[in-house]
This record gives sequence, C-alpha cells and structure tokens, in this order.
Amino acid sequence: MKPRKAKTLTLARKLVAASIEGGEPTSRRVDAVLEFLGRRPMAERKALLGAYLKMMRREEALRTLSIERAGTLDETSRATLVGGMGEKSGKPLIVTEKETPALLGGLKVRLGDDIYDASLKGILDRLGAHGNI
Amino acid sequence: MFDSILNTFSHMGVDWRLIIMNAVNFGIVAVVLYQFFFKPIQKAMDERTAKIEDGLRYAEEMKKKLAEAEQKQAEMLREARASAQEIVEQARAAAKALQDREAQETAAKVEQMLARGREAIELERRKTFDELRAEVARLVVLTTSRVLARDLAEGEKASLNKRAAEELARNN
Repeated sequence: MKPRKAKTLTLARKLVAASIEGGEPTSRRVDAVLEFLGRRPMAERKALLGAYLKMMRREEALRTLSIERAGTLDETSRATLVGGMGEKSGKPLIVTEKETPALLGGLKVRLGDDIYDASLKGILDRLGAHGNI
Repeated sequence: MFDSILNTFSHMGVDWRLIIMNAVNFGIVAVVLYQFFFKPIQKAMDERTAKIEDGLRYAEEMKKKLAEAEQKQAEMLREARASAQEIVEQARAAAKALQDREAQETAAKVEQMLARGREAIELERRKTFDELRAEVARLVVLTTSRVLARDLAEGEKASLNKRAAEELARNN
C-alpha cells in the first residue's frame, strides 16, 4: 500500500498534467482542477493543494526564460532568442527581461535550472578563473 | 804365649785386670753412647737429611712447576693478548661499520630532507605563482570591466546583445 504522501504527490502530478494544454496551463483546465480539489475532503484538499501549487510553480519556473542584458536588445534578436530557447524546451515560454549593466555587454539567460552566460562579464570571469589572460 | 804377654805387662807395671775392666767399661760406655746418643742423632740426622732432600726435591719440583706455570702464564698472556687484539679489531670493524651505516643513514635523511625542502619550495613557488596569476587575472578583468563599462557605446552593446542572442538561439 502506497504511503499517504506518495499518493498525494502522484495525484498532484496528475492534476498538474491535467492543467496543461498545449504545453501551458489554461484557465479552463486549472478551474476544473480547482473544482475537483474543492470536492475533496478538507484534510486531503489542503495537502493536495499545497503539492499542486508547488508543482505548478516548478512548471512555471521551467517555462520561464529570464533574460538579463546590458544595453538594448532589438525585437528581432529577442524573437530569435525566444524562438531558439522555446524550441529547446518544447513549451511556450514566459519571458522576463531586465537590464543588468554589470554584464557590460551580451546576454545572460536562465531557463528552468539552466543558465547560459554569453555576456562580456561572463567571458572575462571565465578567463580570469582559468588565468588565461 | 798368653802368659808371656801377661808377664810382660806385669813387668811394665800394667795390671791386665784393670785393662779388662777399663775395656769392659769402655764397651759399656760405647754401647750406651751408641744406643742413646749416636743412634738418635744418626736417626735425627737421617731424618733431617731426608727432609732436606725432600725439601730440595720439592723445591726442584716447585721450580719446575713455577717454570711451567710461568710458561703457561706467558702462553695465556699471549693468547689473551691475541684475543684482546682480535676483540679490539672486531670492535673497530663494528664501530666503523656502525659509523658508515650512520653516515649513510644521515646522508639519506639529509637527502630526503633536501628533497622535501625542494618539493616544499616548488609547491610554494607554484602556489605563489598561481596566486599571482589569479591576482593579475583579477586585476585585468577588473580593469577591462571598468574600461568596457566606461567606453562601450550603446550601439556596441546592442551589437553584442544581438550576437549573443543569435549564438544562444543557435547553440542551445
């Protein structure tokens, strides 16, 4: 017999999968999941809701592309970058962008747990760390 | 014949009875002297002579034994001297071997210490060199960063961003 926590996690995972349509959660599906959760007993509902929320946040983080840049990034380049990264993840991405002057030039992007550093600061840091200057 | 001899003595005024008496007396005295003086003296002298001879023989034996003992002692001394010499030689050889071994051990230890010292110096040199290189690299990065931050134009930054976006889209 599966422990209660494992059961909760399995069900939460299924609910997260049910919430996603075309690679991203939709309001319709999320409403349906919440309605389902509303019918569950209070004790189970609380644990299930907590696990569901955690997994949805994780899902969102995996789909979030954070772009850090120094200077401006034109629309074409942004679209190229988002398209390329979206192709890699296979999901529609949530894009956030912020100016970081310390990067000096170039970009630093984060997608889920992966960080890609193509900034001048990153290049200089790597050179400095290896002493190849 | 006998009577004529007696008559002759009578004519000469010698009384033969007195002579006989004197002869008997002399015999008795001689026997007594022999028995009680000469015999014990002879015995004592014989004993003394025997003792002296024994003493001489003993002295001779002792002399011989002494000579033998001296010879034996001399031989023992010679042997002891030889043994002592041998022991001294062995001790010298052992001391030399010990000295050689200690010298070798000391040399090996010194060599080991020198090797360790050289190794430590080399490690320290490398560490210092690495630290120096890291510091130089840090300073170069810092200087370059400051220069770039100050001198990089917006157009250049945009160009860099464009290239980075293309690179990231292509490689990932």
